[in-house]
Amino acid sequence: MSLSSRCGRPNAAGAKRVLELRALTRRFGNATAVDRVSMAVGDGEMVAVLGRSGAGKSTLLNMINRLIDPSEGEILYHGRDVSRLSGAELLAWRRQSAMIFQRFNLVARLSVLTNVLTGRLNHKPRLPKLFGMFNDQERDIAIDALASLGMDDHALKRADQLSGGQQQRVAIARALVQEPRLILADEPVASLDPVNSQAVMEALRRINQERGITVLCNLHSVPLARAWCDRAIALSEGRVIYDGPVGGLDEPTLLAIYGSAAALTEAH
Amino acid sequence: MSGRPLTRWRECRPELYPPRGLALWRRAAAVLLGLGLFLWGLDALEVTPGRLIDGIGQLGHVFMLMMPPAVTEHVWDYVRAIGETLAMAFLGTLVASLLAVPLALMGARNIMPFGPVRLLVRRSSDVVRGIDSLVWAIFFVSVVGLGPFAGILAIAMNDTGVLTKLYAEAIENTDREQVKGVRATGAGRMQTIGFGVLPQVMPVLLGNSLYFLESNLRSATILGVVGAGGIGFFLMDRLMISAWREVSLIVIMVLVTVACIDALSRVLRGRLIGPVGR
Amino acid sequence: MADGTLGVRPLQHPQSRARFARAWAAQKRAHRLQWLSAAVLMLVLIAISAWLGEVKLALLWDRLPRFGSYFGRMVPELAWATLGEDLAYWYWNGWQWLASLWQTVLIAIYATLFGAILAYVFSFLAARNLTPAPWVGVAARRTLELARTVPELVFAVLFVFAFGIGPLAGVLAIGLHSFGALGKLFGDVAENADPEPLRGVRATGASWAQTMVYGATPQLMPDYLSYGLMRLEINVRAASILGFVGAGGIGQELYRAIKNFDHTDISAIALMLIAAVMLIDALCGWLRGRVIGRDGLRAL
Repeated sequence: MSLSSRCGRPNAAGAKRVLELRALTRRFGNATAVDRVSMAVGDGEMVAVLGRSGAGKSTLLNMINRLIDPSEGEILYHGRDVSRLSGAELLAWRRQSAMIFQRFNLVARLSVLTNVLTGRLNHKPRLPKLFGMFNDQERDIAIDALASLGMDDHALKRADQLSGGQQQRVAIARALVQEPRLILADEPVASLDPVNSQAVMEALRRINQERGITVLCNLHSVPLARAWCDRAIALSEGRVIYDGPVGGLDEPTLLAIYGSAAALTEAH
Repeated sequence: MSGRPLTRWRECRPELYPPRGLALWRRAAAVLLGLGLFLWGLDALEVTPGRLIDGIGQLGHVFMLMMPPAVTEHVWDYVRAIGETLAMAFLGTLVASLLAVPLALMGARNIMPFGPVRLLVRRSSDVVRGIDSLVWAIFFVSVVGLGPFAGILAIAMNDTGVLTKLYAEAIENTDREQVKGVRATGAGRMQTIGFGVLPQVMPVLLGNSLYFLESNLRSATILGVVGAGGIGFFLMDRLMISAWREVSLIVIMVLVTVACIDALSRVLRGRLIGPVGR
Repeated sequence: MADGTLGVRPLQHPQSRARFARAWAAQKRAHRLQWLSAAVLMLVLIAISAWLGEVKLALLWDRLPRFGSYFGRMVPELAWATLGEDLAYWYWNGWQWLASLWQTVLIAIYATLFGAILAYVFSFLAARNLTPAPWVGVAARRTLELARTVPELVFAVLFVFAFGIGPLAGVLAIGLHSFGALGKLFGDVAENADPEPLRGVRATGASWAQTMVYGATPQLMPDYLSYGLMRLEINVRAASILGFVGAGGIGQELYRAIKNFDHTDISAIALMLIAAVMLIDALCGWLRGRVIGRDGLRAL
């Protein structure tokens, strides 16, 4: 393991604010998926975003990465509004805010190594990469990332030959080589079995603690949020209805988030 | 990751890196060989940069000469010729489709148990298909004389070859269970074909025929070059005497006709075989 | 069938039975009317086409014997005793023809190559899900339509005029037409591309071109190659007639033979051409099988 620099940084909620959302809104036709969400995330925090499916969690994360454009509101990163960026600046922002997806979103026919190398596409030099040429240093970085997730032995396999848990770890490696300051994980374990879920959450937590990368993680399961995150934000119908430490998620709050006891049981 | 010393993985994992030394040279040699072959081929085709540049200049010149299209008293001749072209494509496709069904049945492995007949049908369809409809047109002009009739026969001939092959493959790909089901009701050989095989392949047959109607319209536009009727005769004639503005008019008329037929055939295909049949 | 004789449980109430019978009859009438109108329309179309197309079946029947004699004259005189000499006499210009045939195949290969490379780029511009901007998509689709609607031979005449007599005009003409035809096919395939990997690559901050190379190309390549090989088969046939208008290849020899009524030359050239076409078809079929077969094994 080359991730040896344990900083053990405290993930106190009072740390310096890096990401701030102000009245962020997204409408699809008449439906409002995300409704005036305002929140602030401190440097190095690991935040769980909870809510029923359709509560707007996924739209929220995709908006921060700007795969979906916001209808209204601001996304401030270190005080700079990134919600109106375009062109090269937008691409650079996407590089800094890495995404991890529920369905991994790897390119099936490419090798694991090439999939990880796609995380370097926004780093210079860019032209040779159009022809599949990555230099040795970038390969070093990519194999380092794979090794830190225990996937370096699979580097030359096709991505679709791996199991779900392995694919998600490759996707995390791809996010890591982007050298992001922020990782946005959209239901990273929803397609995985319990053992792989634990492994993936553990990897995310380790990245958060060892590298000090801020992590926003959409989760459908409350126990996972309690086990791995510092803070929870809950959405319902696009609005924030809870924002505080994971310890504060008591029964009444959870009932409010999930609407009914039945849905709540499912989330456990 | 910044500041942290990177592991140099090349030493322990050379297979993950581009080759070096001899292997690299071998790869470079292969690339050079490919490039050399490519250039040699270009040379064989008499492609030189000078000719390309000159030609593009000429092309631009011709294009300027084509604008704007001229609407002359010949327009009604052109309209009639386009009608002729449409008739050629339509009748040619129709005759070919009708001829191809029995031939395809004779050429399909699951219908025709007698090998030599199958082979004869398949091979002769290969031969007919290997000859372009323009060559067939020349041949038929010498048989039935100048005019669109020769064009119809040429299209029908070439397409019978192509459609026989396509239909035969479609018939061979039919679901055996359904055929068995029909046979189990006590149906005879012909009835089995009629109720078990044909209903399954009908959408493919119709879809292909419509597709060929479109493609035949395109080939029918040029059969006039050898005297087999249609708009091609006027197109070539105007090209030969460098009446560029009339050439552009004809080309635009052809484009509009083809676009109309494409749209019509898309609608028909949707109606006949449903949205998935595309 | 309305009375349920096929073992179907007869409808109990006479009232509903009558209703069923009425509905059945109405539907049958509507159906019959539809069929009838379609048949009438078809017959009218056939009649108009036959009139416009100057169909003279009697003439065809009259001239049918010519058919046989035409082919009869194409058969060369071959005898066992002097087979070698006869063959040499039949293929008196064999080496020249072989060279022209080779040129035809080269024209087809290069035209397919150029057309496919251009179509590859344009397919991403034209596909509605991949296009960088809607107006680019519309422009690309119109360009492709234009390129595939104009027949190769028309392009060939234009290019012979612009680039001079020779195979270059042929390569450009077939290449341009292939660009249009393949661009359409490629674009249709690209519109069905899986969006998930595309999102994954886009989220890393990849530019549009990079997303196409790393997200779209790997999933589309097998289909593109398969269509490209199919186009090569078509283009060999198309290249065989370009010589008629001076755009190179075996067509020139074939045209001369037909014009001069050198019947045995026609059969000699046609046989060579058919053999070449069959060979290329078989080769392309084998390659296509490999492209699809290899797909499951190797990482790009």
